[in-house]
This record gives sequence, structure tokens and C-alpha cells, in this order.
Amino acid sequence: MSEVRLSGLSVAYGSKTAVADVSLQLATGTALALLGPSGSGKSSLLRAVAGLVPASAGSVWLGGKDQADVPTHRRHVGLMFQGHALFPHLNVAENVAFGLRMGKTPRPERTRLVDRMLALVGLADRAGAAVSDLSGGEQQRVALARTLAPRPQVVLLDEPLGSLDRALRVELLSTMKRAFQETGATVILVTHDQSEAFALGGQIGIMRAGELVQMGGQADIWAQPGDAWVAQFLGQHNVLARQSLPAGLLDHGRAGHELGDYVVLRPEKLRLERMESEAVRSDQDWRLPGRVIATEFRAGVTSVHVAVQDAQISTPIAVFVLVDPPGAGERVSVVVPTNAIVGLG
Amino acid sequence: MIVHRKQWPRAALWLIPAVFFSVFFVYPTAHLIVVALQGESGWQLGAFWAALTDAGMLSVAWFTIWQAAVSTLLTLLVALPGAWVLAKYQFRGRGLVEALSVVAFVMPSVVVATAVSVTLAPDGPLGWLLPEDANRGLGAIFFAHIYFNVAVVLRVVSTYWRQLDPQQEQAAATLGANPLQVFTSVTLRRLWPAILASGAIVYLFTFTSFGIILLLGKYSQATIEVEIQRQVLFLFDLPVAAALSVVQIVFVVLLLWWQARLSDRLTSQQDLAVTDSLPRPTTGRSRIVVAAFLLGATALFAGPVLLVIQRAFTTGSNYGLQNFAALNESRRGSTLFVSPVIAVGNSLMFALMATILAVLIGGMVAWSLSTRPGSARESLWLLPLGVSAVTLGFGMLISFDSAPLNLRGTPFLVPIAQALVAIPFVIRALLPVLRSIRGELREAAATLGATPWQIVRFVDWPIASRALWVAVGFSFAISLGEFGATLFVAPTNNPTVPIAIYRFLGTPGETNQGQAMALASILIVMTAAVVLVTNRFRTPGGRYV
Repeated sequence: MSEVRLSGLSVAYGSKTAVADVSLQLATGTALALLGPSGSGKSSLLRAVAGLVPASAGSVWLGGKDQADVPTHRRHVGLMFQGHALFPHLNVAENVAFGLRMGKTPRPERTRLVDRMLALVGLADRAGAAVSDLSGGEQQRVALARTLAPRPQVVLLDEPLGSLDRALRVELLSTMKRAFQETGATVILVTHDQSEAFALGGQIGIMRAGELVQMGGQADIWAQPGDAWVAQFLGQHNVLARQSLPAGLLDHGRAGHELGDYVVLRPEKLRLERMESEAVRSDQDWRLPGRVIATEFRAGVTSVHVAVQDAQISTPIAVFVLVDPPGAGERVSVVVPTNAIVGLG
Repeated sequence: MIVHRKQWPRAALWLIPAVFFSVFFVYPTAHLIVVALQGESGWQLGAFWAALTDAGMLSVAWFTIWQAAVSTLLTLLVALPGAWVLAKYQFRGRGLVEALSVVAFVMPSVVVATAVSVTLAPDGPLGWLLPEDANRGLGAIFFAHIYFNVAVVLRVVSTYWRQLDPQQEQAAATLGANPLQVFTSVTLRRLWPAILASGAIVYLFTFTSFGIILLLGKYSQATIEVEIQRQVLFLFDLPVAAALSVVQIVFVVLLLWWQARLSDRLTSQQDLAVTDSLPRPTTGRSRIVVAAFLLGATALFAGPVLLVIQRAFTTGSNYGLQNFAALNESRRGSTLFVSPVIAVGNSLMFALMATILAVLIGGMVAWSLSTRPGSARESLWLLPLGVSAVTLGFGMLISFDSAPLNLRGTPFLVPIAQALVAIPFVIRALLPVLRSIRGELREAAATLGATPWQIVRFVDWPIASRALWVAVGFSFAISLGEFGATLFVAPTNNPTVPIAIYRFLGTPGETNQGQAMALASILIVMTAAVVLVTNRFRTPGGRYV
């Protein structure tokens, strides 16, 4: 049985539509990262699931039940807010215990659960601290513990790591994943950061202007973005209009199936050759001669940006190189194997 | 917004205060003006106009304007160095100084006038400040205004200063600016909104100053407020009083509008960064600066009132309880005599009633205002601060003397007048805290399973209740010391403590002065006790002023 089912869900603020006709299903214990630029309606969708904003059309089903008439406090969802929303008048342990108190969990059980949650997020020694005395990362951990303590059937995360620096985000994300695995929660994470969305693991949903434009497994979404906008939003390199590419190269890449209006040249599948050669099709590969204009080193991989001589291709082509990258100004050939050409819808 | 929540009867939260204000504030004020303009033979607008353009009137207006300007400037000069110390250092005694400044702010004007005149008397500890032939009255007025209002500047400016991101100053220094240049070209400019905002409040308070001017000024030194009282009580010239009231109302409305715009700018500043914690003074120089501040501030706030208490226990050159004992005897069998026990009882009873009223009405206003942004509406409720307490008191006296609202002779007129004065303070104590309970906190509680009622009980109430106690203490202290309006509406045979002190001061003779000191001491202790207890409930967000 699916834990979360949205059926034609729309959310409107006055005449402005924030979420438009979104349908999706999530099985118990799975995670979905909703990825989209700001204003794409992903937070509104989350708030509609929590019952904090009404659905203007469609329905929200949690655990097989239509939530139309269920108020927020009876939905058993845990929402972790972007700004933490910790209660300033309560200390760390009291914040974590809040949901358990509302649910009338007996005190010994409550204490035990709070201790466990605080241990899970690594704050066992800060139970009595005032939340105003905590660092940003610690506040985030308290918010996470507070969200998970009442064992919600669905955990909703609204840009939970937005305000933190990179190192802290990586660390907290792994804490979160461990916590979700341990509690078996179904998770919906909302973010505009692709690395965060992919790091969560599980499904990815792409939102644009209120619509869910694509949803699927991480590898599938990455390998076959729905359209050029999705590919660019995912941060993919070499998203090129079809008419900007030589017909021969397209024929080479088509290899029996149709390409869309845009194609992606996969930078990890392209190769570089130092010697200069004509733009000719060899047995397997197509070559585009050009000159290196810049290199960029990140996490062990160098992106080499090559301005190709072909008059039609105006944007530089990025190629990922692991060892011995050429320097700026060097003349090279970009080698394009057939499987490096991916057509977009 | 939380779905499925029952809509609260918000209309009532607006309507009850609106009706209260219309009946007890707008109506008596307007009534007085209309009555004043309608002579026995119909409208006498000529007299009104003549009063507006009269030379005497213009000189009163001029004195009001410039004494307020000088008072504001002096207050800023005295307070800004203190604001700097509070913004930069954490130190022992900080809380005490802050509490003392608040005590000074709510100290009844009658008491402050008494304390200042004792302090600046030729034989007083600061008598040397004013040469013999100088205008002692004016010096005393400035001193008293500084005493009251330093707290306003300290609080507003130091809070803002503390939040200023120091990087701009650091950038200026790396670009070669020396400390003085950094201060004048960067810090002062950035502080300007806070300085202007606090200055505007101080100007408003000193512009409408009544008790201080009445007790410390010479006859020629009258503010509009004092002149209204004279015209009404001694000269019975109502058209002139009305003209003065109108001038004051117009001026105060403009001032409040300006102040609202300033405080909007203050809260919309983008470059504020809350600093985690302040350093303790570690260098020799910083220790000396902090020690000087502690000493100076304590002497300023506590010195004059302690002097009053000392005088209360002094008769001639002996210490003793004679002045307190004399409180219970009326030497000349004066009709104005009232037992201090009764005056204290009256004060406490009136203040209690006024507090309940002010917190209920002010609480409703604050709750309604907290749901919308912007401070224009907020300013509207601050109007009673600026409308002459005398106009208000006298207006109430002539407006509620016949059916259906015959309140003369009932114990309600005094608390209503005092509540009107206290309501703006209640609103300002509650509003920032209510606004700080962000929608997110309530939503977080709802997602954690809290019902709407549990949200009120476990989120709204615990956060707002501390501010509520501050509001209670503040209204109580203000009502205890209210002088201008109470002077008119308090029953002659049942005065409050400030009125009784005023009567003692107005009657010559050493015994009467001694009794005034004794009664003032009692009022000092009552006020300080209320504020110091209240201070324990203070939250960082809440404002007093």
C-alpha cells in the first residue's frame, strides 16, 4: 500500500496557482526529493500534504485515507521547517518532547524516546540547553529530532539544510538518512539543490511552475532528463540545440532512434585527443577539433572546456578528464562516441 | 495559516477597544473643544482664532518647542556614551543599571520634580552646577527631562547598535580611517535611524511635559500643556484652552506619524546581524570606561530619589520619623488634608482598576495589530500619549457629568483616565512579542499534533505571558504616578499620592515640605518595587517605550 498518494492536487493563493494538478504515489519507507527552483510550488505542495494550506482541487491520501477533512494535528506528519521553528521558551529536550506531550505519551516512555532521539542526532549532552544557545547546525539537529520523535507516518522536509554550510550539510544529511532508515519513515524532501536531492537517495521529482514535470529513480532522471530545462536545472553540461550540431554528428548519435530538439553530449563519456584532426567520423567515434579555453578542477575530476572550430557550435563543450588534463590554449580533438549523445524530448 | 481552525471573533477584538477609545478618549476631547468654541451666544470662532495668533500664545508654543528640542539634545548627549557601553560590553551590574533606568522612566513626575529640585537646590549635591543667578527653573527642567528619558535612548540605541554588523567599521579601518573618522563617517550614519527614532520619542515626551514644568518652571516657563491647565483652572478662558489643545493635537499627530515612519525604517534595516554574546571588558581602558558608566548611571538614576528618601527622614538637622508621623495630622485643619493611608489606598485601588482595564483593552489592540504589519495603525493607539492629559482630564470631567454616563462621584473616572495613559505602553510591551510568535511556530506545533487550543496553551501563552506581566507591572507603575489627568478627575477628598504630594509642595512651610518628602519616599518605594518585580519577566523582544 502506498503511504502517500496525491491525486490531481492543486493549491492556489487567490488567483495565483502554486501547485497545479500534481499526482504521485510513494510506498511506505521510501524517500522522494522534490527538486525545483524557488517559486516552483514545492513548499506549497509540502504544506498541502501537512494540511497547512487547503487543496484547491484534488486530494491528499495518507496511509490509504483521504485527508480532506483531517486537520493538521491529526495527520501524523512531521514537518521540518526551513527556519527550524524551534520553540524559544522550551529547552532542547522539551522541544523534542513537544509532539510526544501533545500525543499524551506517558512520561517514562517520553523520556526514553527523547533520549533516544537526542542520541540519534548526537545531542545527548545538550538536553537541558536553551535553543538560543545552540549553533545553526545544532538547532537543525534538534528540529530533526523533534520531527521524528512522535514517529510520524510521513516526514516532510522543507529545505532543511538551506541555511547551513557545505560540510555541515553533508554531515547532517548522513545523520538524517540514518535516522530515516532507523525509523522506517516515508520522506518527502523539498530542495532547490541537486546535490542535496541526489544525496538523499530514492526518487527524484522535478517541479517547475507548480507542475511535477518528471519523476523517477535517480539514475533514470540523470540518464534521461525529460527536456532541456530539466537537464540544465540538474546542472548537466553540453545541453545543445539540435540544429546547432553538424548533421553528420546527429546521424552518428541517432544510431537507429529519434533525437529530440535538444541533445546532451555526456561530458563523462567524451574523450580528448591532443593531436589535431579533421572533423571526421572514424570507425566508432566522431571528432570535433578545437582549443582548450578553460579547465576547472573539482573533486578529482577536471572539466576541460573546449571551443570547437565548428561554426555552428557556439558554446564550449565540457569534457571530464581524470588524469593529465590539457592546459588552456592547447589544441585538442573532442572524441564523441555514439553513447555520449543523448536526445531530449 | 492553519486550515480547519475556527476563525476567532476578530471583530470583537477591534470593536471593544474602538468603542472604549471613542467613548472615553475621542468624545471627551472633542466635546471639550466644541464646548470651548461655543460661547453662550453661539460659535465664537473669532476668540479661537484670536487665541491662536495671540503673542502670548506664540511665546508659549515657542517655549514648548525649544525646551523640548534642548531637552532631547541633552538627553541624547548624556545617553549615547552609555548606549555605546551597553552595546559593546557584558558586565556585572548591567541588569541593575537597565532596571534602574526603567525605574527612572516610570517614576512619577511629581517625585522627579521633587528629587531634582532637592538635588539642584543651592545646598543640594549638584547645586554648584547652576550658578546662583542662573535660571534655576530651566536647568531643573532639563535635568528632570534627562532623568526621565535617558532610558528611552539607552534602550533603543544600544539594542540597535549591538545588532549592527561590525564589518563596515572594520572595512573603514582597513581603508585608513582612524577611530574618530570611523565613528563619524560610518557608525554615526548607521546609527542615525535609531538616534532619530529615540529622539522623536523623547521629543514627544518633553513636548507634552506637564508635571515637571508645572512644579519646576517659573510662571513665564509654560509649555502648551501647562498653559492649558492655567487657562482652564485659573483664567477660565475655554476658547484659549481649546485653541491650545488643537495646536498640541495637530503637532503630536505629525510627530507620531514621523516617528512611525522612523521606526519602520528601523525595523526594515537589512544589515543587522545579531551578535552572539558580548565580550567582557578585559583591557584596563575598557574596565575604566565600564566602571565610569556604572558609577555615573547609578548616581544619575538612584541619586536624586535616594536624596528625597534621605530628606524624608530629616527634620532640621536631625534624622527621625517626624515627617512620616506628621503625615497623619493636619496642622491647620485644612480641607485639603487627607490621610496618607487613604491616599496610598486610593492610589493602589485606582492603579489596580486602571491596570486591569489597560491590559484588557491594550491586550486586545496588541493582538489585533500583531496579525498585520506596519506601524501606522499602531501610532493611532499611541495618541493618548500626546494629547494633553489636562485636556483629557478636563474633557472627561465635563463630558461624564450627566446621564447616561454620569461618572462623576463614581470611582471609575480616575482609573479610566489612567488606563488611557497606560494603554500605549501595554501595546508597546506586548506587540513585538506577539509578532515574534511566527506563524511557523504555530504550524510546527500543529504538525506535532497540537490542537488549536493546545497551540494557545503551549505556544502562544508561555511566550506572551512574560510580556503580559511586564505590561501589568508597567500599567500599574504608570497609573500609580499619573498626574496630569488625575489632577482633574480625582475627587478632592480622595486624592491619589501624587496629588497629595503636589498639595504638600504647594503649601509653604518646612513641615509641609517634609511631609511631601515622606509621601514621595513612599511613592518611590512603591514604584521601584513594582518595576523591579516586573523586570524579572522582561523578554528581549519587549519594549517599554
